[in-house]
Amino acid sequence: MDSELSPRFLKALQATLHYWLAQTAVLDDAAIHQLNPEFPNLLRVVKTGIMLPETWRETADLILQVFFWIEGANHIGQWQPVVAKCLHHMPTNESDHHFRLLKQLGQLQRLHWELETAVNTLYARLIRNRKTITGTLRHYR
Amino acid sequence: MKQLQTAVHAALKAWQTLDGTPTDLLEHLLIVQHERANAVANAVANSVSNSPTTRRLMTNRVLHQGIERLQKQDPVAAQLLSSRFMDGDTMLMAAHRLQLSEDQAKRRQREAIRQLTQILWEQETAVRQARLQQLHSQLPPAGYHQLFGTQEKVAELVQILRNPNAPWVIAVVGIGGIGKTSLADAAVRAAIAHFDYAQLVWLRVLPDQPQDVANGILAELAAQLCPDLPPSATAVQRDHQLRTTFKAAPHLVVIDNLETAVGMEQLLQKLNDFAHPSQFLLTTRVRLPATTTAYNFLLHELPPKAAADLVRHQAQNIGVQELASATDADIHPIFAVTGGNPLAIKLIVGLAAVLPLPTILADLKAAQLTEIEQMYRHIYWQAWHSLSPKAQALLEMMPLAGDIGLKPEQMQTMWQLDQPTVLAATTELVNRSLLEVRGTIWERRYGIHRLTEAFLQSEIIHLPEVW
Repeated sequence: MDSELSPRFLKALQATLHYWLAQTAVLDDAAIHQLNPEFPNLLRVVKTGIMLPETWRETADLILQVFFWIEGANHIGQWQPVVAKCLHHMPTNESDHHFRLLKQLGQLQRLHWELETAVNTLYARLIRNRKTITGTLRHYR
Repeated sequence: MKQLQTAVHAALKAWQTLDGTPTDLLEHLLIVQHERANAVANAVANSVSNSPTTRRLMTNRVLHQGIERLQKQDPVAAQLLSSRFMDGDTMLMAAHRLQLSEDQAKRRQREAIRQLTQILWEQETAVRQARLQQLHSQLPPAGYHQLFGTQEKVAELVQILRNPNAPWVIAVVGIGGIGKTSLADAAVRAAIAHFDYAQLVWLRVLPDQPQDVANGILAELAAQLCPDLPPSATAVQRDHQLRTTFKAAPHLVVIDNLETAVGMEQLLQKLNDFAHPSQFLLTTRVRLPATTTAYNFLLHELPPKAAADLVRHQAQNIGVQELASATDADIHPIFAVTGGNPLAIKLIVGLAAVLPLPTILADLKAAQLTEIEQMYRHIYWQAWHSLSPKAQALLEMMPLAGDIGLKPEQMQTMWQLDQPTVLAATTELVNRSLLEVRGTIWERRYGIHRLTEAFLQSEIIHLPEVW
């Protein structure tokens, strides 16, 4: 589509991402229990945010931050394609996010018992990060 | 109540037997079904099976509990029933034991059975209410206050759903905005009130769900119905478990908004395999292929009279008095333009609150729209231009709401809006049928129809790609 993205919508999307980042800053059991009914709203925002270069980074931060919620409330099946799509739309200069998202994707695949795929994801992550081994070790921990 | 009393008497008489008929086992009562379900659930621990003897035992247990309650109200009545049916005494023996004449004992027995029936019915009513509440909690909030022109369709669909033979997979087919979800919702609410289903599942397929819709639906069903299925289970194991669940007890599964044709045949094959006694009700714009074993339930536009009733009802709701009291003939031009499409009608009535009706209709006619999508696009543009800036701003943000909708306080916090702004904008948008009221009266939420969302994404927001 040639038309430009609505600035008002973009601003609202950024505000919504900030809202979710704040809401999920502390994710203990009580917080997850309270937030869980709102999962469809989180999913919608994340799915929109990863499609736009302007909001990709904050959306990736949010994806990384809510991992315990996703794991704890068993939204793994719905979340796995989100992380994969986020990686697919990743801007070129986002290597730090790339490593961490690959790690989470691998974890989700492992939780889903897609063991072979999980190993391949981890391997891709290591290959990608071969120039910054210390970074890999730091994130792998 | 008379029928139940006869059945209770039959059940008491069959106390000593090892099996029974559905009537003398009181099988239609939920209290009996619950007792059995509990027994089957504990079967492994207690070495109990779902044999005819177990079924009789469970019915007797329900009767016994009823008699225990009766004991508190009327000890003689309870003793008479115990003596006659549990101990197997003759009427004469029971009468002697209670120091009654035989005639008195006969009269007391009739009265005791009536009292016991009343006790069981009270228990049954309480269980039914709780069950209905639990089933209703599985349904999404109804997106309508009243249905117009579809009462017969609802009755027809309920009849199809309650047909003990078939069909097992039914698709409500119709164009966008025609009211497929509302029809399915109304039919399901009516059908579940008969307690034919052990479980109800309502799945809504989101337009942004992954390509493999069929697999997503099966995974979601497994997540809801087979909680013990290990994450390591393969698709084959999952489907086997689902099949066992669906075959064990009648489930009603609604798959709403199944718009994609991708993988449809494969999904229908699976659903047909799972079906009987379980049923699957789909809503879709796509008529299912003749090669599949599914029943196409076609939903057409409203007839003129129902369309006129909808116009008046909607106009009354939003305070457009001239239209609320208009005759069928006055309203006919709206029908002529919309072809009786309910959503289009509601949008035009909403527009009539701010623009002269002849202007709206003349504009639509002049556009010479041949496709329903074109008509919607045109109506949405008219609606958009007639909104206040605050309402426009709020509506533009609404594609960020998930299917459950957003609470007003969430909108305020997320988008830094003050309460009066949100209140004014939501009221305006609801009156114009651009915002749907969801949630409950305790927790109001707001969302948008798929067609509204599609318009906003393509025409207003210009999202480069929709997932």
